[in-house]
Order: sequence, then structure tokens, then C-alpha cells
Amino acid sequence: DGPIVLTYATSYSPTHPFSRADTDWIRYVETASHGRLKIKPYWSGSLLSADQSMLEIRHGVADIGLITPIYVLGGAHLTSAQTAFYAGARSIDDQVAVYKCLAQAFPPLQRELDGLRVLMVQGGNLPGVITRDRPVRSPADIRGLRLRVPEENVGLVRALGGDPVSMPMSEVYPAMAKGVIDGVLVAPDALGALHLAEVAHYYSDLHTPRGAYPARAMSEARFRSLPPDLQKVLLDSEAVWEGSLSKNLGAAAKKGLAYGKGHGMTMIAVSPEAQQAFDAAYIDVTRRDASRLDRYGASGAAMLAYAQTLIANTPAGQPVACPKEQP
Amino acid sequence: MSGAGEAARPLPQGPVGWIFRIAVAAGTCALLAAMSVEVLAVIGRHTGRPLVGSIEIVRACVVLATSSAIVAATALKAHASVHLLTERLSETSRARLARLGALVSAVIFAVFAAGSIWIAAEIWPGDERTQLLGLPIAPLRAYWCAAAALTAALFLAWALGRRR
Amino acid sequence: MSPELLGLLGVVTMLGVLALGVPIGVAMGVVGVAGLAILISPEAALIKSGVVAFETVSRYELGVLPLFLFMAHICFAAGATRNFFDVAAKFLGHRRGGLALASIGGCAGFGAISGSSLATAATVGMVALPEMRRHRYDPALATGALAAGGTLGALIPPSGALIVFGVIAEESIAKLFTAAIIPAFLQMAFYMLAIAVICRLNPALGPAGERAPWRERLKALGGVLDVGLLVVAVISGITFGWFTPSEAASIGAALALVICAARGKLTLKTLAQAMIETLRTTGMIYAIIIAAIVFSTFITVSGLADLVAGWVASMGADRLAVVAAMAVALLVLGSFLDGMALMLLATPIFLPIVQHLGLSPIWFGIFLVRTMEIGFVHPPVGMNVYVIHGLAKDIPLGTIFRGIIPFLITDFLHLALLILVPATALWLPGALGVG
Ligand code: NA
Ligand code: NA
Repeated sequence: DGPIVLTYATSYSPTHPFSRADTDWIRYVETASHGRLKIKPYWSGSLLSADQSMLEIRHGVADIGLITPIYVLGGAHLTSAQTAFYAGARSIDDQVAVYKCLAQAFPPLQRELDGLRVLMVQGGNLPGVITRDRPVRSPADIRGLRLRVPEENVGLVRALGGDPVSMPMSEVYPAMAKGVIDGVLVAPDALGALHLAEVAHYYSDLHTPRGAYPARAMSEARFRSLPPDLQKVLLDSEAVWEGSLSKNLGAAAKKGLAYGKGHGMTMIAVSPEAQQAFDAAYIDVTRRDASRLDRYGASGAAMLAYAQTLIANTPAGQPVACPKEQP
Repeated sequence: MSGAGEAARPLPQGPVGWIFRIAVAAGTCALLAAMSVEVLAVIGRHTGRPLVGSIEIVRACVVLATSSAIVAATALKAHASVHLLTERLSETSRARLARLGALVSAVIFAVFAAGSIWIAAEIWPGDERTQLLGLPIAPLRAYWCAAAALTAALFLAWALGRRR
Repeated sequence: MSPELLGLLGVVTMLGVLALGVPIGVAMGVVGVAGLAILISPEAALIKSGVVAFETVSRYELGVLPLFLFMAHICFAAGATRNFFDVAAKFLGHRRGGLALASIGGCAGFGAISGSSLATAATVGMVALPEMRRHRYDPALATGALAAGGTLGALIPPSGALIVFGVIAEESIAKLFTAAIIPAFLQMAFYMLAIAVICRLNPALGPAGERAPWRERLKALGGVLDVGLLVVAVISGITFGWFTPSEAASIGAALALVICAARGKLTLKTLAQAMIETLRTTGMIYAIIIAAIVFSTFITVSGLADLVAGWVASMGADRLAVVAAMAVALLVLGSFLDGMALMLLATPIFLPIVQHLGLSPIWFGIFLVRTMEIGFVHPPVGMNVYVIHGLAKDIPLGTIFRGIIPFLITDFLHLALLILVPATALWLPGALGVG
């Protein structure tokens, strides 16, 4: 018989770093299955929507796809909220490992993914602060700054005395050029893509914490319909997919930073004390929000405490290992 | 597709007339509310008092306005079609085709309604809420589902209705 | 049957169903859902159409469509259409073909309020056509100028077609609006030039009227002052980033209500009338958008889109040949498809090709609207022609199509200019730094 064809769909364009990792994964799966699995990709949202892809995959619109539990407005409250519990996590690999421990320790997290087989957990580069003409060296420098931030950081910036603004990323360049905003919280990968060096002078690596979440999934029913050896290929592919994404994101961050330096931006390295103060403020804001999670079946405070203990107990340079005892 | 200033046509009467009037009233309120909130948001932003979550309110109004608009357009039999061939047919064949068209239209809106109801039912326990203001989204889904089902029903009534 | 063949069969079936007089949205929706049911599964087809439907009705960026429509209807109720035509007529009426020139000017003026080609042709036609007939203008010239002039409404911002393009292509609507300004001015100039040439060759077609004294001209100008300010506020607000296009629509609608009230024309009846027209058009457009997205998902899954894209790409790296092929395909499709449906269908197929060739998506949006507009006036289904025919039933369709010919010629010249000199669209947004 011919190969089994599985459809893969994402809302990102084929040139996005996410999609580069997806392409690596497709190649791996086809090779590792000796051609018995074939993946047919659909890019740029041509098959799956950006927000409802979890639901669409459950109903077989695509076999496998990019999922965004952090953008879903219902049904994934815990998965979405736990991304705020990662202050202090040092690398993308650490973020992914912490998520996996959390998912193991708190079954309600996994229940939000019923009907789906997670094939990849994704972390991200930590955003820094890009500013037009006022350098940011410590959390105190945020006071009075008008910053474009993603929705989830509005509370943090406000708590630090800043003036958070939400606007589409595409409007950041002109808004910064005209002085409508003083800066933006953004991961270094975006530096080059948005040409921000032309309108901003400072990049500060005061990092906003960021968490991991399941980001690629397959319909559980479709997964079960495959013979065991092909199921194994897909399960093994998780490490490949995560590794490739982490590598691609790392390269994108490096490129962005090099672009910023090359275009004369002043790169500011903040002190560990400043970062700690910032993380503490971040955790304060998070703790307030975490209490609202209890009605979704798990204690937000317990999840936050678990993640923070795990991160604090992991020595620098060592991989994150889940504790044996249950919380 | 046509627009401003076309000769006023008779508005629907009877039960369809009532559906039409309710849809127009709801659509009017929603659109005027969206307009007012956005004007306030712009004024607020330029005077240093930004209206948090204004986009979420506008989006809710947009759901109500556009859902109502589809019902209103259907009640007015305003859905655009191509009359290139049908114009040359006899009165009876044209009437038969119109019935067929209404039936097909009923089917497709029933599909939209069924898909939307299925999704809404599945999402219901997930407590879907907007990010900043925490507005529940379920009522908006319910409104759209009702509008799509009503549109299908209007088409079905025309497909099965008595001959004039 | 291969999926690609099923896709092709779907396109043919859709056109067949369309020919039976079934609403455009319904024809696309039925074929799209059936195709997805066959290619994936009935469950997937049902869920996908449900997702698309709610995402469409709840899209914030699309919400600007009804608001711009409402603004235009209120301005119409306030008498703005007549004001715009009056100004142009007072300044140009004494020239040969002056009232035809004024019709183009009126269309451009009202086009800056209205987002649609049809609404512009219909409303300006209602004012200008009786004037031109009273002055014994050649019926072909008079109706041709209005049908062609109406298409300015779809290019001059605000533009419903550009809003829809921006949403599907994920491009900045502000940038698209800014990019449309120079091409729209050129298009207007081309039309006026065509009229001047025609009337120089045969002055009997558009007899010159009396020269209006400056007093009357200034008075007419005073009549458009308030609405003119509204237009300037809306367009510059978008261009300079004081507010988003969506907010601009709300501000424009609110200002229009104020103007209408100040002119003493805002009654419950005019408000209801404007709202009914707004909701009617909105409902119709949204039904088409939902169905067209479902249909284009089916075409994507069938692989037909890839096949066409591959075929076009195989024509080599010769951009000009590819763009010309796209223009021909769009013009053919545009002769029987509705403009909005065409835009929704063509964007997902052609945009990847355009990006592959290294062309700007912003430029492509303008190009797409421009070719789509030409479809509004060329036979067999030139919707604008039908609209104008509806205003003057005694003028045969053949006469109107004959009147269109000179404008079609300038349309093709204008399109060629846009293709050969993309800067006509891209320079302004760059120069103003619109993001
Ligand atoms: Na316009
Ligand atoms: Na056409």
C-alpha cells in the first residue's frame, strides 16, 4: 500500500521560525517512518484558524496542527494562565521542562487537552525592553514610560508605574517614530523584522518572564487509528520538533540582537539585582491573578508555588528535573 | 450589491415584518453603541484617559450588528445574485428556480447554524471570556446561532410557501 | 477522482449554481461545504463552517464596513451627494463635456465617503444623470461617465474592498488606504482626460453650459465645507495614525450625524432609512464573506490553488508575464463574479505567488481592487452598468456599454501604469511613514 498521509496545518507562513521547525519535523517523520508516513502541510491559516484550531483538530479538520491554548478564550484557562508562572526560567528548554512537570503534577491541566495528543511543547525567547530615547536599566526606569505590551503584561507595567498600551505589532514602528509610545516589550527576534533600530536607540535585556505551553497536537482519534510503530515515530518526533524550534528561535534572537548592534542601538545588560526586582514585581502581579484560577479545577497558587520551587531548586547549567513527590 | 439612494422598496409585512423590525432595532442599537464606544476610546486616548477593553465591547456590538444585518438582509430578500440567465426564462420556470434557490439557501444557513450550535455547545462548559474585561462570549455565540437559524427558517418558508 | 479535479468540478458547479440565480454567498457556501465534506469529512465541514461563520461576524477589523456604510448613508441623507456634484458643475459646467467632468468629480468627492463602487454610481447618478439629460448630453457619454466614475468609490479611501483585502491578507488597512490615494487621483485624471478628448472630437456629445459666476461657485463650495472637513479628518486621521481605520469609521459616522443634524435633515425617518440600507448591505456582504472563506478553504484543500499557483510560477521569473496573466484571469472572472466574492477567492490563490515574485502585497491589494473595478463596468455583468440602467430604463444597456468603451481604454492604460510603475501606489505610504 501507499504511505499514510496526515495533514498538518498552521496559521503561520512557511518562512516563520515556527514553520522552519515544522519543516524539520516533517522531514524527520517521513524519514523515520521510512516513507510510510507522509505529511501534507497547509500554511498561513489556509486550513486551520488561529484561535479555534484545538477544536478544529478535535473534529478532524486537520490531523495535526499548531494550537494556541494561550489565545483560546475558553476551555484552556489553566494552560493559558500557567505561562505566567515561569519567572526565573533561564532557557527555552527549561520552560518546556517546567511545563511538562506541571502537566504531570496537575491533571486538570491535561484535561484541558482532552481529545488531543500533544506532539510538541513550545517556549519562547524572553522579551526585552526597546526604548526610543530613555534607557531602561532597572524596573524603576519603567515609571512614566508609555510602552506597547501584550495583553498579559498590562498589569505588570501598570504596577511598575508605566503606561501600558495595546496596539497591533505592525503599528509599533510608526508609533515609535512619532513618539506616540516610548517603547515596546518585545523578544529580540522581532528587532530586525520590524526595523525598530531605525526608530529606537536602546535595547535592554530586562527580561519579561515567559512560559511554555503545548503548541502542536494531533487528533487523539486519528493517533489511535495508526499502527503502533507509526505511533511511536510520532511520539519520538516530539524531541526533534522541540529541539528544532528551540534552535530556530535561538538563531532568530541572535540575528535580531546582531541587527540591533549593527544599526547602532545601545545594548544594555541589566544587573542580576535589577532582574530579580523585576521578577519579584512580576510574581506579585501573577499571584493576584492566580487566585482566580481555582474555579477551573486547580489551585493557581499551588501551581505557581510548584513552578517557582522547581525553578529555584534547579542549579544553573543543570536540566530541570521533576520532583518525585506530588504537590 | 447596491447602496445609498436606491428607490425605497416596500418593507416586509406580517411575521417576517416583525422579524425584520426587531433585527433592525437590535442592529441599530449595536452599531450606534459600537460607534459611541470607539469615539470615547479615541477621545480617551488623546486626553490621557484610555478606555480599557474598548475593543472587546466594540467586538461584542459588531457580533450583534452583523448577525442582525444578515437577518434583516434576508427578510428584505436582498442577497445578491446573478440574473443573467434567469431573466430570459418564463415566469413559471423563474418562480420554480426561485423556490429551488430559497431551498438551497435554507440548507446552507442551516449548515452554518448547525456548525455554530455544535461549537457553542462544546465551548459552553469552558467559560469563554474576553481577556481584559472578562465579558462572557456565550451570549454572543447564542445570538449568532439564533440569527443563522432564523435566516434558514426565512428561506425555508419561502421555499415551501404557498404559490401566489 | 483526484482532489484537484474535484476542486475544478467545484468551481464549475459553483458557477452553474450561480447562473441559476441562487445568491452568490449561497452558491459558494453550498459547494464549499459539500467539497470539504467529501475531501475531509462531513463533521469537519460542519465544524469548519461554524468556526468561519462566528469568526467572521465577530471580527473587529471587519466591523468598520457597516460603520463606513452608515457614514455614507447619513451623508447622503444630508444631501452631500448633490453638494459634491454642484461644486464640480459650477466650476466645470461651462466647458465642453463639463457636466460629465463634474460627474467624475462628484464621484470622487462622494467616493471619499462611500466605500463602494455601486453606491457611488447610484447616488451620484441620481443627481447627475437628470442634469446631463436636461443639457442634452449624449446618453452614452453621460451613463458611461457615471458607471466608470462610480468605480472611483471603490479605490478612493474608505474602500470596502481594501478593508476586506487587508483583513484576509493581514496587511495594514491604513497603509492600503494611503497607497490608494495617488492611483485614485490618476484614475480620476485619466477619466477627465478621456472626456475632454471625446468632447473635443465631437462637441455635440457634451454641449458647454453657461459659466457660473464666482459668487455661485463660492456658495457651492460653502455647501461642501462641512462634509469636506469630515473627509479630510477621516483620511488624514488614518494616514497620520491619530486613529485606526476602524475608529475613523466611528468618528466619521458620528461627525456625519452631527452634520446631518446641523443641516436640519436628521429625523427618525432618515435615521431609520440609513440604518436599514446599512444593515441590508452589511448582511449581504457578510453572507458572501462567510461563504467565500468556506469555499476558498475547499479550493485550498483540493490542491487546485497550489496547482494554479504552480502553473503561474512555471511561467518563469518574468514578473510582467505573471502579473499580466493574473490580470487577464481576474478580468475574466470579474466579468461574471461579484467584486467582493472575486477578491475573497483570488487573494489566497494569488497572494503567495505575488510574494514569491517579491512584489509588495500592498501594491497587489491596489492592483486587485483596480482589476476588480474594471469588472464592474465591462460586459456581460458590469454591476455599475445595471445600476445606472436602473436609474434610466429608457437608455438601452448597449448604449451604456458603448459609452463605457473610452473609459475602459483609459482603465487599461491606468492598470498598465500601475503594473509598470508600482511606485504610484507604494511611494506615498513610504514617504509618510504609514505602518
Ligand atoms: Na471610497
Ligand atoms: Na463584474
